[in-house]
Amino acid sequence: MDLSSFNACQLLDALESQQLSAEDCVRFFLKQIANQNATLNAFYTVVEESAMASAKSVDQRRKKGLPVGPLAGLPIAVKDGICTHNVRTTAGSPMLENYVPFYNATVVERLWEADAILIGKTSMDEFGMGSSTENPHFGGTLNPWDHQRVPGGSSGGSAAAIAAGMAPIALGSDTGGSIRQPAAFCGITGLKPTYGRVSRYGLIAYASSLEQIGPMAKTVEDTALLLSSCAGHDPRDSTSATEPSEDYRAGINRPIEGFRIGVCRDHLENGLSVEITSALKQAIDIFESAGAQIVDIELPNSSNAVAAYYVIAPCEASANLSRYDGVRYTERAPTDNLDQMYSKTRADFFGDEVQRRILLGTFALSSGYYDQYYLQASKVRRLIQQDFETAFNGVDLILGPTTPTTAFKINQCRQDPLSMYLADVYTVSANLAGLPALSLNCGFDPSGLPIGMQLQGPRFKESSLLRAGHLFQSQTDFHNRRPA
Amino acid sequence: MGRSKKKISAEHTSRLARIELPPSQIPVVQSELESLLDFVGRIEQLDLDSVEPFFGIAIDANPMRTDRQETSCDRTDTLRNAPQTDGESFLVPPVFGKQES
Amino acid sequence: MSVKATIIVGLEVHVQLATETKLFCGCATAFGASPNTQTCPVCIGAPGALPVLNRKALKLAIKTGLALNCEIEPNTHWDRKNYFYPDLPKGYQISQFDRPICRKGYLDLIDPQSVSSGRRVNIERAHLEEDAGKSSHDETMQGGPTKIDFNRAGTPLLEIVTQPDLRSGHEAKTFLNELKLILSSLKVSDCNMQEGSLRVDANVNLSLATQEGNQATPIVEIKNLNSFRSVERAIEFEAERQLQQWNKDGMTIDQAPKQTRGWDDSKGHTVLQRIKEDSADYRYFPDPDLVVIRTTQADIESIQAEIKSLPAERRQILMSRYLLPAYDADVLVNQGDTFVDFFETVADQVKDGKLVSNWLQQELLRHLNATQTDIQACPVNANQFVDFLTHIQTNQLDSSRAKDVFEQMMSDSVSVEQAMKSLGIENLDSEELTAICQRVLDENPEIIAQILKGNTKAIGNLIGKTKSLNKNVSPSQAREQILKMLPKH
Repeated sequence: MDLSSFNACQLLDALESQQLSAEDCVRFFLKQIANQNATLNAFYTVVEESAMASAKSVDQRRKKGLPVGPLAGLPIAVKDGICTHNVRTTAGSPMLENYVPFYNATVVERLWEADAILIGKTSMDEFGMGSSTENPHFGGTLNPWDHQRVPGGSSGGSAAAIAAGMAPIALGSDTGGSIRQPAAFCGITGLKPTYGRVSRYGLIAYASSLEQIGPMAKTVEDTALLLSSCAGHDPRDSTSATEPSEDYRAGINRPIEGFRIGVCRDHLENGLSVEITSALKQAIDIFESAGAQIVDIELPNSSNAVAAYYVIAPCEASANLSRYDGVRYTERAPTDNLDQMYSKTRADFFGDEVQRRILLGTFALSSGYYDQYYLQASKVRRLIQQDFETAFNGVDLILGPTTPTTAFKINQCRQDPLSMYLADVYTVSANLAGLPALSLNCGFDPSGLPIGMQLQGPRFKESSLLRAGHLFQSQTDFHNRRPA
Repeated sequence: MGRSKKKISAEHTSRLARIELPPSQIPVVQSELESLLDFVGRIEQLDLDSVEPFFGIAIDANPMRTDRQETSCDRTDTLRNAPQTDGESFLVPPVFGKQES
Repeated sequence: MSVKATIIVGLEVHVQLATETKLFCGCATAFGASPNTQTCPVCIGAPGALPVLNRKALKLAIKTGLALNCEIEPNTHWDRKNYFYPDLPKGYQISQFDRPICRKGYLDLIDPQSVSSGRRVNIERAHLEEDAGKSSHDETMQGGPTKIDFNRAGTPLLEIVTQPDLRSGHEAKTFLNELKLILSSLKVSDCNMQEGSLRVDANVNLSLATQEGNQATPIVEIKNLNSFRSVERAIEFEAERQLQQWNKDGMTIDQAPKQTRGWDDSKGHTVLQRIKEDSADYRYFPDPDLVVIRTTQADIESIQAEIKSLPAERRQILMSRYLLPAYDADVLVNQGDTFVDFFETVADQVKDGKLVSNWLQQELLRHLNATQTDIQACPVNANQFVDFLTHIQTNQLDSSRAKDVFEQMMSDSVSVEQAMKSLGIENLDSEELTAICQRVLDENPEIIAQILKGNTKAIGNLIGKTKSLNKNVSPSQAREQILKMLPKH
């Protein structure tokens, strides 16, 4: 049976009705990985043995009529920045090339309790710092739609794996767009939840106040399925929200009639290619004919979002990455001098972009500059948050582009970090304000590359985004198209 | 706003961050950092004196734990990723170096 | 050149809080475990692990702050203090920079032995932070590796910072004694200096009144202070050293950088450790893994309600209610709350505070010290002690035998009656006493003659003889009886 056209919900139906065994299901995707990963490099680590063992256990329990979890038998790929007990977790860094965590991230624990089956760890930009997954140390990941192009990043491996049918569903993490931008570039669906909705415990930190773990899949309904198993308060994460989580899949079919959808004309008409603008306008038409009301809104401070982001994220990163000092984690430059243990280890085992951001953040926090950079950026952050608050007084969600362009070519941005940073222009605001944001495929450009549409909502209103996204997918078939 | 416009020093910053830069790289990194600071510096001009900073977390609960002991990790697990140990402790190059005799 | 030098001292006291578990994780804080056995992803700084605040640590910090008359910050938060050291697992310490939990307090010193009594020492701040791990260096200095143990990493510390209000080594010691008494009384810390539960750094310099006006010597931070006595000695040494240095080079606070010097207790001097050329750049910023903690007035009140009398108040009560001299009150309070409780229980029944105080200070304390027990393990309970003192007050026990009886009570853990019995002490009835006195008078006419001639001192001779006939004779009763029975003249 060719399962690559199945989405996660369909697979789960087949598994639940025992038309499909977990073993066959897992075996299929492992085979897909075996066939394609040498080319695409979406997985750094594949865990065949434990995946097959877990699948066997699910099948046995099902046969005996014993209880199984809500995702029983569903293969899942997990970004390599999320800690998995006894499974190598590199965060895409030479520093952690051989790091094997001795605990599970809370989300991994929850997936395990739900009987989902971890099949492997996916590629990423080092510590999540990048938008292309052109990881120089572990090798770049290719975009399944066009092997000359990047899959986006930093969760490029998870996005490519789904687009190529190597995994039906995956976890990514999003600090400035790292779920949504690769979802857009690879033509899949990705959700960055509200800050605090999903536990960060076990997510290898890049910028703690900005990032969230979130689901990536073929369909909106699949992301709702996965979010339901991941979300909810975690006492191990002080920033985890206490708001009760929901069964996000259950309410997904509710109509969106009367929804007020905000559109920022400026974002729709300036700085986008004609194809993206027209794809978004078609999407707007679809929502309007489904009974939604389109409202013009303004987000006046969004033009400063990227600048604020590239102060705050490097500052937090500069401290978050201080723990890689050569004492406890895998790599240490050969030396018998303590000073060099630090400075050589960190020079040798951090990549260029990571070093650049650590230096930027270190400088911005250094004596005399805190007010000028970190504090000032945090004030801009307040303004951005307030812009959204004002906008959400009048609308239920905001529709716009995920990215200014479709997937760019390999090496196109590597020489110029700033051009890469600017690719985050539409995504960073949701991280700065802590809001949920969904990216889904809304069309293709003339070269056949997917176009991403972004829906942003008020805090904890994931359900609104999912309903709207699901409606869109029920009226279109972009999400069903697969690369040749 | 009369803020000092002192330039970043790649060399000093790399020392603070404990990242050794080879001398040949210093000017390259210096100019990269300068252009990035130039870019993010656009927000410096904004007059935000009356704006409260937002540090990203809008939780109103007081998340705390009870002072109850949990099982610590097995030492072999704790030590297993380290570059150098003696089976009990992590080992690092001598803090005080070798004394000249 | 003669200048008037005033010693200026500020203290930084790190107090390990008496919690079962660490500040941000559930690992034990017990001292002395095998290296790296009390660690977990959080306190070892494993990638991805996150801190969650220990509620009790916050409460103990607030309690201390209230006892030190501090303002409690209603919205306290956490900052990262960035620096690299092998025993600092995350490369930053979670601490509190601009919104410490406690601020602006004070502690009044009452030192009955000093004229500087009534001095107020201002507390600048008290903030919570996590401890680092422990580095053990190759003691042979042959360049062997340094060993790192993270058991201590993450242990909750309260750093109490005073303003530079102390003016002598003795005053610093007095402050520390009082602080320790308060911390022990609140059960906030075990204050064990040997195990590092209480660590003191002293910032010392001199203010000099010279002909050119007031000048100050460079500030020296003294570390490695292992006892309050060391603190006192180190400050006095440092004051002398700075004065000599000043006479040599005349360097002022603005001309020389801050130094860190270590105290060598055996040699009795401080040794230069490092010079802070540029003040460390800790790059403090709010820790994004933790949220603002709100403390309400109600929270504060409920913690305040748990604070019973503090040492200063107890001294006042001993002086006003029990009429003790300041010196006695100080000695008793310095023994800790349980000791004062014991005193009050006894004194409430005996109704003679000074008598109780004398016995506690002179005999009870001596015995406890000699047997290295504390008042909790005192072999004589308060009621037995009351009984004992009542026997003295009612002359049932003669004061000449009281010490023996007390020793007996303490060593055998018995009542006053049992102790007297085992020592063969009985009260004579008046007939027996009269008979003994009569016999002594009959046998010693020559002494009677001396007395009658006016040598009244000779009566002691007779009393002695009654005592040798029966050791239970009370000398005062014998005197009374003999005087009654002497032939009138």
